[in-house]
Amino acid sequence: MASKSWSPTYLANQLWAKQPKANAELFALTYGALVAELVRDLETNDKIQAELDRMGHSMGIRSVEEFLAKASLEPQSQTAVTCSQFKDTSDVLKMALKMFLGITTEAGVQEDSHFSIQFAENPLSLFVELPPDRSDLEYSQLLCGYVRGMLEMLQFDVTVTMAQSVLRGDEVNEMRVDLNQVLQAGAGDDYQEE
Amino acid sequence: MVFLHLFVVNRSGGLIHHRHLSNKAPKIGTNEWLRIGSTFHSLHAIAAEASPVRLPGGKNSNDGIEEMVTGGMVLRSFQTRTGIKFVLTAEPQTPDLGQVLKEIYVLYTECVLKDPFYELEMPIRSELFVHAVDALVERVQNAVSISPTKHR
Amino acid sequence: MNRLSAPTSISVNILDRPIGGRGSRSTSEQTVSLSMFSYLYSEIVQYHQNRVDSISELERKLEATGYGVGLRVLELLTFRTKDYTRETSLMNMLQFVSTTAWKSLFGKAADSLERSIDHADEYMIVDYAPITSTFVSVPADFGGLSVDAYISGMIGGMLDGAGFPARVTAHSVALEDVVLPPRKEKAVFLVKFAASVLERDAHLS
Repeated sequence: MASKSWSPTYLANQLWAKQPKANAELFALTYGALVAELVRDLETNDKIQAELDRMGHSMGIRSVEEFLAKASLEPQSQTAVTCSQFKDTSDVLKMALKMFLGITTEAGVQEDSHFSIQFAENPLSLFVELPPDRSDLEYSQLLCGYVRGMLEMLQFDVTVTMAQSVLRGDEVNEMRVDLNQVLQAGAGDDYQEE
Repeated sequence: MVFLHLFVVNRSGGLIHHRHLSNKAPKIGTNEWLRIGSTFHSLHAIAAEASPVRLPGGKNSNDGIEEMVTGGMVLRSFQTRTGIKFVLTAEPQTPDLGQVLKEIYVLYTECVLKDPFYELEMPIRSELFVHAVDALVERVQNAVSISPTKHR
Repeated sequence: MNRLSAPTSISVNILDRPIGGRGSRSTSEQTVSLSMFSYLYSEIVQYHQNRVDSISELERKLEATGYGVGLRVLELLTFRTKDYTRETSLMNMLQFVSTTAWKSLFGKAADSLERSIDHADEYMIVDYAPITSTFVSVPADFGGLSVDAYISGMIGGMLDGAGFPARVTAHSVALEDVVLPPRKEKAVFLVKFAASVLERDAHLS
């Protein structure tokens, strides 16, 4: 059964095509309403971002399961989804962002300890303008937490930041992922030989 | 060609879901289920360590018990990359258990992980998951009974 | 990697930007996966759940979140149809919500719009598969909570913004036949108009 494995881009498009869709504007407005509530409830940028990050993380750890589950149903997906090295996670990220958010990403810097990806449109921030007193708020912090959560489930402890953001006036959105450490997988450790 | 039981074990070995999938499935009490869950979890891990051959992928591979074939039933286990085990038992010769397990994993990501009332690692109470699994099992069993038996 | 030296506030006035971002493609047709919406909405439900003491309070919080969105949706849709004449007929407004707005938001018109037999001020918008509850299993001890309250808030915002104040509530009703497994329930959005709205409508017809 020597069949060619799909490329990450092809698999990403397959998965995206099969996903039921929701209106992106409704999604953006819903996110906007959430941010507005957090601003009312939590007041400081730090607290707001921490909560957005936590929510994103919660969404990310679930999304990656859906990605793995649906990818495993696709016939030629095996190689595309291996993720034993940090470098491979940028492919997984590319696929997941396409599958869930419909965004096409371009690879930026690719080093052993960090990589970045760029994308033109940020579905979270349609219609948004940051008021002057909130210009330091990372509006897309949810997305950073989201990526952090996904990679954590793949056993990589990372720090994710928006190095560039269209909302802040940059030309493009750029997300930077820094590796902190590789996490060890669970249960089998109990039974290892001393 | 009958499915018997489904059970799900979380990353720490806790049993988070169990049910019978047909009337032919023997009744198993709650305490027994808990024992089955933790025993299987341990055996699964020991088997991975005891295996003389490692799957490629090192620490992140899904080594461990995949299938147990006995006179009375066949057991198939699917461990996700995130450490959750979905285990299905069925009458001998029931085909496509691996495929069914993969679809159950998808149902888990849809009906459990997207349920705001579900807490990770906790017992699954999402009604939609139960219905979805029922619908899947019914669909697969009907398909099997009307098509000729495949030679493996 | 050169960063543009950007001022801390946005330099282009938002009123000059094309609605919903750059590029020629209208964002009205842009999509994300339903999963993403579901994950986000699940977090919103949990966020509120941790901050309230009762089921009804949770529903009210979700409605309040939806209300602001409803106002914005009304503005957006009105702008896009380029028809700025204000809707004055109650029936037309309900049609607008259950068909035009529904299609834009959810990809298809609502499954039905009904008038209550018993109450002259009540109408029902029915949706067999609202996206706020697609994957939700409300625990039995949550007594009739409908997480679709977000949508009833949106309906309320749209109606209020157009001058048709109403109290809108969401109800989960068992589906007669299980048309969409694994769903077992449809949503009925009950719209109860303020007395002033009905009086005005009676005058107009």
